[in-house]
Amino acid sequence: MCNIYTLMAQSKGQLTLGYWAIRGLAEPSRLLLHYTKTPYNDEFYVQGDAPEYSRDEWFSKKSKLGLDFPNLPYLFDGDIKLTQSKTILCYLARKYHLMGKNEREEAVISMIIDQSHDLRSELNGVCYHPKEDFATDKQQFIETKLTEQLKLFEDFLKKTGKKWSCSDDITAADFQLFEYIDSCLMLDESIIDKYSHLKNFMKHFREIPELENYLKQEHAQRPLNNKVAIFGGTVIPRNKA
Amino acid sequence: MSSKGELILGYWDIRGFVEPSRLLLHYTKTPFQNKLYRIGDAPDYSREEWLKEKSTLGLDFPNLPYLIDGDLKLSQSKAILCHLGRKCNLMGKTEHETSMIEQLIDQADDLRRDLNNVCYRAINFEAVKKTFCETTLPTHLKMYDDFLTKHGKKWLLGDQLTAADFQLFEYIDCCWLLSNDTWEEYPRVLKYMKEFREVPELKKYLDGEHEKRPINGKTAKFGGAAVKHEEKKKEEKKPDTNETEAAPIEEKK
Repeated sequence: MCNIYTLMAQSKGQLTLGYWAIRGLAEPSRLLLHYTKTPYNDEFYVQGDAPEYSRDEWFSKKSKLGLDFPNLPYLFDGDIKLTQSKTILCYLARKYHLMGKNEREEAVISMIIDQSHDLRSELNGVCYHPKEDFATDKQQFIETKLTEQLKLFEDFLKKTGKKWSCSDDITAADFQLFEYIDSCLMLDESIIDKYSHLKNFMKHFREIPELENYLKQEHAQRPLNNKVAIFGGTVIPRNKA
Repeated sequence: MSSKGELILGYWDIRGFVEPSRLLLHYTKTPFQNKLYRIGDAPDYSREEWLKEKSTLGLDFPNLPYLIDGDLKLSQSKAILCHLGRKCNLMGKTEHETSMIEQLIDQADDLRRDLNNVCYRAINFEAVKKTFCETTLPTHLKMYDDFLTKHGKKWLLGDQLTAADFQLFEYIDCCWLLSNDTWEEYPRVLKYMKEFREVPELKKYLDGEHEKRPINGKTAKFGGAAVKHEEKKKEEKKPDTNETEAAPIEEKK
């Protein structure tokens, strides 16, 4: 059973996005929804505190929502029910014409979405299940995987030479890329300084009028990861806006 | 070099994450160059064949698999599959169908990654395999069996194949090879797999090249050489008193 707000939202034809009360894998979709000023209901699931870190708030509802593949995040849009964070992002992007103007653009957008998702997954590995200890894994991640990926994204932005990552118009790729690079920068904000195109991209994104308020308020007050994470399970104060 | 206009699909000489795209290309009879990179033998398992070309191909994100389609160069296996799907009109007729296909592709990809985590496991392989086959895999199979039953169509989305079917078939087929079980609890899945193997445009490829290709790289504990499904008979499955306690696998966040 959904909560009363979800039922109200559904009766108004409003979207519902269900996820943990964290940024995690749903934040790119939230950013897109805020950018397009789409009214929607954030159905939050809160993980319990230490030591159990109970996920019962989700497990108690998981099999009752009519999802074919019960998982978080999920999206309800009328009688459409979807899971898988990238599928949700692309569905919303298509709905609001943010998936490129042609087949070629769409393919490149999909590639950027997948590539940045891989980076966020690696970050998750460091934050939740470091192989050695967090400090060692963090350092290794920054020096190897993150450096390698940031260089690739930097070169890509430089080569494409557009206002946004894939075109002069903002696309789904930008919500994903911004959020997942920003997530990595929570480890060390200064990492971005070496990459001028990426730094500009991040700065321009933060200045989008439709997003400025959301980014400074709700988004900034939401933890990156779940409570059980070794890093990012609580809100981290930022050095810069 | 390919002839003008021909696709180039580059990957290891394994099934791995590119086989769904190969299946789609064979099904649509799309000419393509199947560029294969071999992994060296033990003990080095050299990846030189790929590494020496990796930065010379003009890929923005050099990785395997890659697809070269004219001046479009893509990496990421799902982006490649969906691009080919769009090109060949196998991504659904409506936006809703497209999203359902993408969801199924992503969902099956999660399963294949879980399988990879088992197959490449050096330590505690048997215990991890047992947990996968007895817990993780049944959860996925039940969802697919229910999905196919609920929608009641021949294929995932209807009576026509879509990109999602190439992904799902391939990835549950890989699980089938590890599982060595009858899957009799999932009759709809079994029917689906049987019918996929009988698709006329694919039969020759499936029985030939596809079957002879290993599902994983040579360093894998399982599947680094071509294997066949060997079904254990139910009556032979007795509890083993010396079985190792299965190592817990963390649930997805």
